[in-house]
Amino acid sequence: MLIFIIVRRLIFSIPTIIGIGTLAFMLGHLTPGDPAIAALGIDIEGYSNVDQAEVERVRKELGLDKPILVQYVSWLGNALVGEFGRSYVSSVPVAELVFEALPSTLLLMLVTMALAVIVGISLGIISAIYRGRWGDYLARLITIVGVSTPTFWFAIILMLLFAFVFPILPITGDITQHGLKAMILPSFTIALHPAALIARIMRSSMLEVLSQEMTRTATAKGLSPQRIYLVHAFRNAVNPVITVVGFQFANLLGGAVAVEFIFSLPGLGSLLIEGIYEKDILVIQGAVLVISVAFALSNLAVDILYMLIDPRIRL
Amino acid sequence: MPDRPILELRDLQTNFYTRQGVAKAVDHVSYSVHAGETLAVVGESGCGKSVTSLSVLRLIPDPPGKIVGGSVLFEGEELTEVSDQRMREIRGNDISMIFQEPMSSLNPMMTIGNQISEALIQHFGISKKAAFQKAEEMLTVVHIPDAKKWLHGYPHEMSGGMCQRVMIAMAICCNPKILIADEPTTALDVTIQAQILKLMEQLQQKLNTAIIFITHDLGIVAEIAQRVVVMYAGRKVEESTVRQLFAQPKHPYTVGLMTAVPRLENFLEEESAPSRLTEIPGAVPRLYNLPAGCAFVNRCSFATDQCRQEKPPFEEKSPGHWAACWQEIGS
Ligand SMILES: Nc1ncnc2c1ncn2[C@@H]1O[C@H](COP(=O)(O)OP(=O)(O)OP(=O)(O)O)[C@@H](O)[C@H]1O
Ligand code: SF4
Ligand SMILES: [Mg+2]
Repeated sequence: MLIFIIVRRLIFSIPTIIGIGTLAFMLGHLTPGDPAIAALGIDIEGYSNVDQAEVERVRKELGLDKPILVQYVSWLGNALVGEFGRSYVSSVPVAELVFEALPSTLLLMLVTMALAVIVGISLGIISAIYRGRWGDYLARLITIVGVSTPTFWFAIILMLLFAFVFPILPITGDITQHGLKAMILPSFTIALHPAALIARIMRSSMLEVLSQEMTRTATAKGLSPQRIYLVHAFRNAVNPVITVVGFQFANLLGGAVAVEFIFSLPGLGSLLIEGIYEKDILVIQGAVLVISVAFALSNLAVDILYMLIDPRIRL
Repeated sequence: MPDRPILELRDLQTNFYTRQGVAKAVDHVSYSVHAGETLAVVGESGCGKSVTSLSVLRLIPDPPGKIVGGSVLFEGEELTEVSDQRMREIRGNDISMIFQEPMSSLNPMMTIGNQISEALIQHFGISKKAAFQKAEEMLTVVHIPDAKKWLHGYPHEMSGGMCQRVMIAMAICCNPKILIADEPTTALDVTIQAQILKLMEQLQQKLNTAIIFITHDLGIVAEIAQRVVVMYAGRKVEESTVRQLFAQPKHPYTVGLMTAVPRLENFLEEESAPSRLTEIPGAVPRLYNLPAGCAFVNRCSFATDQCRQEKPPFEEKSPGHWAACWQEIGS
């Protein structure tokens, strides 16, 4: 039963999520700097002038004086019910900040993944079908350029291009200002590597399937090339791509964090980086936790998708 | 034999262009079959049996393979020259194939019902529902119990024997005029092998299908075929009726194949039974550099200098019995 399997997998992912929470907590505490000082709104240069009594007071208020284990348990207990505390800097509940930022990041990832999958799979299929002909060479050239271009550099090139040469797309700002257009450049930037990778894997997987006996059987039945490529070969070739898509979610999240910042797109990434600048521990912890849980869930979704697609995998 | 053969191969040549050189996998092979007849094609592994039959349906992977000469006439139509569109109409409809490996020849991701019915939909343009109904019928014909249930099953849930029956159901669902069976029973155990052979015989009687049966098992040849073609290193070396071949093989290679057939009585009468499973000593020469004369020369106990220098012509040694050999064997 598929439902049963899904529920079981969800239960099994609870320890993972608790583990992730622990890491998120440690990460927040490993961030250099004193959060109490940050909470006072004093920057590094003003450090020497800090009133030590004032700092102690804030530290007590924030519970930072308690043993780390106590802090951990209470933070984790609260985090599991969606309570991440308040930002030291703005006093806004972290949960609110995170859930405000989440939709934008999710949308960015969704658009990016869709873009990477569609472009990658199409290039891969074209490459495989036209193997050794110009269609293949063109697709492979695009792929090689895609794999070997650094994301950062690509982002800058895109920004320069659309700022000065074709000023038709916004290079900064969010969807409230520009609608979905705001997503185009950031998602192209993040999609570059996964798309190229997917194209490579799709190509080799497709070629492998096309050389198998089952393809010969399909041909011997008198089926059209479209049916042979897009129904028979595709369904068999796409499995490794799904796995890669799953793994790419991690990279994508990483990419989203940096790229949001580059393109000044609000979202979890921007929230996290601001949190780091401000030494706002609870914001860092909350953002990292939500990003990681999203990652764990996306892996689960990939596994389930795998089971739905391949009848042989029902474990 | 009645009038015109339904399928006729004339001097067919298929080459593989690889790094090691050009392999003439099919070298001027001719044979023909009539409706209702079973022709056996025999020979050791790698002698070009499969490539010959794949060439008929233009299923040779290109690259590296290519049909470079000769003709394939199906009811007078030149298959090496028809359009891709016409070829697709013929494949699975007029001429269909059963392959060597039943398991890997089916699509693991598609239900049995879909795999059978897609050919019906393609060739007869019937609805999916009607095609499934017909597919269920076909599964019953090939003796799959619970046919309705299996329509929604997948190949990995079946045994090898069942997969092969599904392949047969798939191959015969459009009532082909010619069925090419490429070692359909090699991967199966003896009981199931017998059932499958019987099944093919029944179908042949019902539909008057011409069958080309590829095998390296001479025991099966005696059981099901009327005529037989023996291939060696991409060439045809002997052709006759099954009866003549077994009574009086004219080519040393065929003689070798016959002594290589395991016989039950040999097991019973001798202590060292396995030693009687002798293969012909030596191996098939590499197709990239065949000897100048007879390809069998290195393994033949009758070989002479002439054999080394000149290719023996394929000639009629006695009425209806051809062989390519310089020596008069067994007459
Ligand atoms: N894809 C290929 N690439 C290169 N050479 C090939 C290819 N397929 C077949 N050949 C060549 O064609 C020869 C004949 O192969 P074929 O499959 O027809 O043998 P067979 O008689 O069917 O043997 P078996 O009994 O093992 O099925 C092989 O020895 C090989 O050299
Ligand atoms: S031609 Fe010579 S080598 Fe070839 S099979 Fe006949 S006797 Fe043997
Ligand atoms: Mg073969």
